[in-house]
Amino acid sequence: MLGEIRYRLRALLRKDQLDRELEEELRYHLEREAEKIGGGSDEGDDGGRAARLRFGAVESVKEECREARGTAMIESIAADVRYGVRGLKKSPVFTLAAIASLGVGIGANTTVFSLLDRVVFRPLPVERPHELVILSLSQGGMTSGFTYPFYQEMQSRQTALNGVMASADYPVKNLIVRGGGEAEAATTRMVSGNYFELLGVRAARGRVIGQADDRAGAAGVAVISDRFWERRFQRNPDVLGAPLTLNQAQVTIVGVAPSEFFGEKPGSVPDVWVPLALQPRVMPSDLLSARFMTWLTLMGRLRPGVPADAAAASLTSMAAEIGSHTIQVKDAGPLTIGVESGARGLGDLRREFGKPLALLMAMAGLVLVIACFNLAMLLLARGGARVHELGVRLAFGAGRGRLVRQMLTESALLCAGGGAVGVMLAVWGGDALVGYAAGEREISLALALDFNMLAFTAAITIGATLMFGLVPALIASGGADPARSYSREGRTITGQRGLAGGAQTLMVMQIAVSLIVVCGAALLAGSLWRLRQQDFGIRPAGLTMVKIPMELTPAARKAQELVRGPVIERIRALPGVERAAVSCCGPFDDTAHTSKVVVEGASAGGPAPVFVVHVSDGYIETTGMSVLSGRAFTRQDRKEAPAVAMLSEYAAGQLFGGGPALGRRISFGDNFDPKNAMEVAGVLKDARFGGPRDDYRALVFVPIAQQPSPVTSISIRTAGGLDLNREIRGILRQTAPGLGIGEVTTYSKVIEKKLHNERLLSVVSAVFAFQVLALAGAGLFGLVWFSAASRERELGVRAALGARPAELTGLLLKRATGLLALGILIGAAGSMALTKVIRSFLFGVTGADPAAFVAATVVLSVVGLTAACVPAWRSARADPLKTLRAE
Amino acid sequence: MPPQKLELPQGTLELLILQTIEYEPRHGWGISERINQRSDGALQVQQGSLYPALHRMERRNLISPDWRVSENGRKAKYYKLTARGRKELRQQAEAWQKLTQAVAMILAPEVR
Repeated sequence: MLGEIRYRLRALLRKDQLDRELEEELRYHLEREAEKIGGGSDEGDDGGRAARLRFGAVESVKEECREARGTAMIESIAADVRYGVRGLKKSPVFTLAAIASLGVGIGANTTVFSLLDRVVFRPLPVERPHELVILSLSQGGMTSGFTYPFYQEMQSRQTALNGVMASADYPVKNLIVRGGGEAEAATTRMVSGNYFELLGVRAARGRVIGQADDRAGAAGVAVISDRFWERRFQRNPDVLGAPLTLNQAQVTIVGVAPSEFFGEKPGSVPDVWVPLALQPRVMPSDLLSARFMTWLTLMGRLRPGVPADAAAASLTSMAAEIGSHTIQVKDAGPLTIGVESGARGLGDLRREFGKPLALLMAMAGLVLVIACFNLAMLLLARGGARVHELGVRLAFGAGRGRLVRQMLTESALLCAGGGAVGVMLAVWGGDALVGYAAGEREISLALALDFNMLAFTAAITIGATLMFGLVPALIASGGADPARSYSREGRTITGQRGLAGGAQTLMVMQIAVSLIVVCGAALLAGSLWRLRQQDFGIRPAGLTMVKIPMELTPAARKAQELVRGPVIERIRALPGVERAAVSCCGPFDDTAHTSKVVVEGASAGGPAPVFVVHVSDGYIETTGMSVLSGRAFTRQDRKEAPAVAMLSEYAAGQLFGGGPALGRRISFGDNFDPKNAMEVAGVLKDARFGGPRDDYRALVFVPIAQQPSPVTSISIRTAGGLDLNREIRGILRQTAPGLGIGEVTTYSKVIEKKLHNERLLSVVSAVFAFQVLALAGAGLFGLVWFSAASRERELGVRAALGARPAELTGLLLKRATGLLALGILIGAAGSMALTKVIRSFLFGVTGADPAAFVAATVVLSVVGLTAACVPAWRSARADPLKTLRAE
Repeated sequence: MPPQKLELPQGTLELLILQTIEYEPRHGWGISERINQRSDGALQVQQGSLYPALHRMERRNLISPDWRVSENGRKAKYYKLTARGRKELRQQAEAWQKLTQAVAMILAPEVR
């Protein structure tokens, strides 16, 4: 078999040599034959003639020999390809336009797909990922993680699983790293001793965490990620055995994880892995014995042959046995354990990203469909000019199948070119998109050409070939009539109605789908604009935010107190600083402190859940919130002064209905506690604390001087948005040494970061909209161009009879305008449906968004009509004499 | 066209070619001459069909080409058996034997 392939390959590649050899072989035969017969061996000699007679038709034998090489089929395809290339070369503008538009369509799809593949489809880079399952615990409809005692008990038993591991980045996600550089927050994942072993991940250097490290009293160890090794240690090989301080606990670095391993949670790459046993040493409370804290994520491996639901049933019955003494059970019914596939890891990134990416994928799909419509339309329109050629070929005996194959070859050539351009765009644009999509998140998912991506590109390329190639090929070959090809009519008649009608239908469809895409982009852009322009309840411009990572050790608490005192005083004294204040759980800082609150003497309603915000004096003024009634906190609201609180409008409404709030007393907890009661001193205008898309929260502000709390951020209002990064870090280092310092940023930047997904959708869909508009323009241009070309004679006659160019232009534009209008009408209905489908992505849109719709329609019409005008105007100005003379 | 003494049954040409070059490589003309001689002139290979057959067999890797200087001092394309060709020859020869014996058995009474 191999030998045969090698032979055929050689036969293909060295065709000329083989032909020469054949020639020589046969000549030798004839000469020997002639010598045997006698009478001269030359062609003219008797012997030669006799030898040839005996041999038979030399040329047909040669042909038979060539056919025997088994390359006839390939050669005829090669001929098709050569013919196709020649045809495409003849209309280079069409060819380039086709390849570019297909390339853009395929590139858009491939790029979005490769991101989707990474985020949604790709299994974890661990051993046998498909065996992995994620466990969940639910009781009375509430789903949670697991407690450590439950995990321990489970570990000591034989279960339906082939090993179970536990990990947590809760309640604290970051630990403060000290030693070998500035104190910084490091993303930390606490893992059970069997974590790496169960995942089948080995250390790139040193060793991984083992069972012996995860015992009470074991020496503290840590495995660091490749990125962290790079970032903090500049890849110094001496890092193994080096000490590291994590929230005051001393640990030794024992290993570096492989660079491709990001843990079991795509999108967040831990800096440090430590054993669960270290938990009590890095946090103020010991969670290892806590039965109330469901902080662990459990993952396991299914035993071969055991289906997930059988494992779930068996684990649920085990939970019934061990749950009562390992988990603080609420009376909400029995515990059930759910088992879902963990092949792709924990799904935060998927949850957050999956839907926007699916939307982008759908839009990219529409772009490709439009590109295909456009090409099919142009092929049909151009096919009108080729009917004559096809007719001639039919007359010479080419089968219709052969013609279709020829035309498909041409489409395939265009598609191959488009696919190549698409892959180039995807490789080039993919990194940009992943970088852009990742934003501040850590998607360390390097994009490169890979099998999935190539397979996907190949699939859509073939799909596109069939879609835009087959239909026109069938229509055109069906419309070609050999008899008419020789008549004058065959060349000029516009009546190849199948072609013209087909092209027009495709144009209408293309415009309809284009309107949907452009409208989608307009809707998303409008939403983003409204999200940015909305009233946040604070004034983000000129407001700097210094994040302070949460650290609950005693030393850290001392440093925090210094932040509330001398640090803030020094910052206020900096030139350019107008105001400064500290808070715990301020707007957009990703922390929240919830509590229940009761009103004194409240008869109905009971306690209500609220968000508690601890602030220093000057906070309201610094952030630019407005006081609706009463007053903001001042320096006088000291520890010794009467306890006070401020409410957001929403909270006041929730607690007091429409009634007066000022002067009323409230307390935290389930029941009113007069000893810890606070008097409502002020009511504030609502502010969006969670993020630009979040609903208003019920906020209760308390003075941090009266109710001490860690500080999570410092807010600073500067004149003209000064960059104070260096000064602030300097003050913190000098005045509160040892305090972990987070990011120094601005509120505007934080808001932009929160709008990340919206921006991603908006920008990428705008890119798609531009592509679609360009395609629609090119399509209408081409359609009018070809139709003008086929009506040249008619136009010439009209011009000769005295029609003015403007009239002729109008004549040519009439049809294009009609198509545009019909397409927009159909597209309008589609856009209405689209608005419903993407409602969840939109902001501030109820029902329809007429502005977006009108904008999309106007833009599409302007682009379309402009593109149609150019060829119409050109044709209308053509010299009628020239045309008629050509007749 | 020279008069043909015996028509070659379908598929036997390949067998004859393989057999002819079993022990020594030959060129196309040599093969046709050899078949002619060995059958005492009873079998005459149609020269027009010889070459396509040779090329088909070359493609199937039963024989391989070998350019050498021939007995009259000119360059000629010789064909030699490949390992696969040798196997094919054994199989085809065996099948041929069986076929002819069977046909002979059926025909025998009528000849008598």
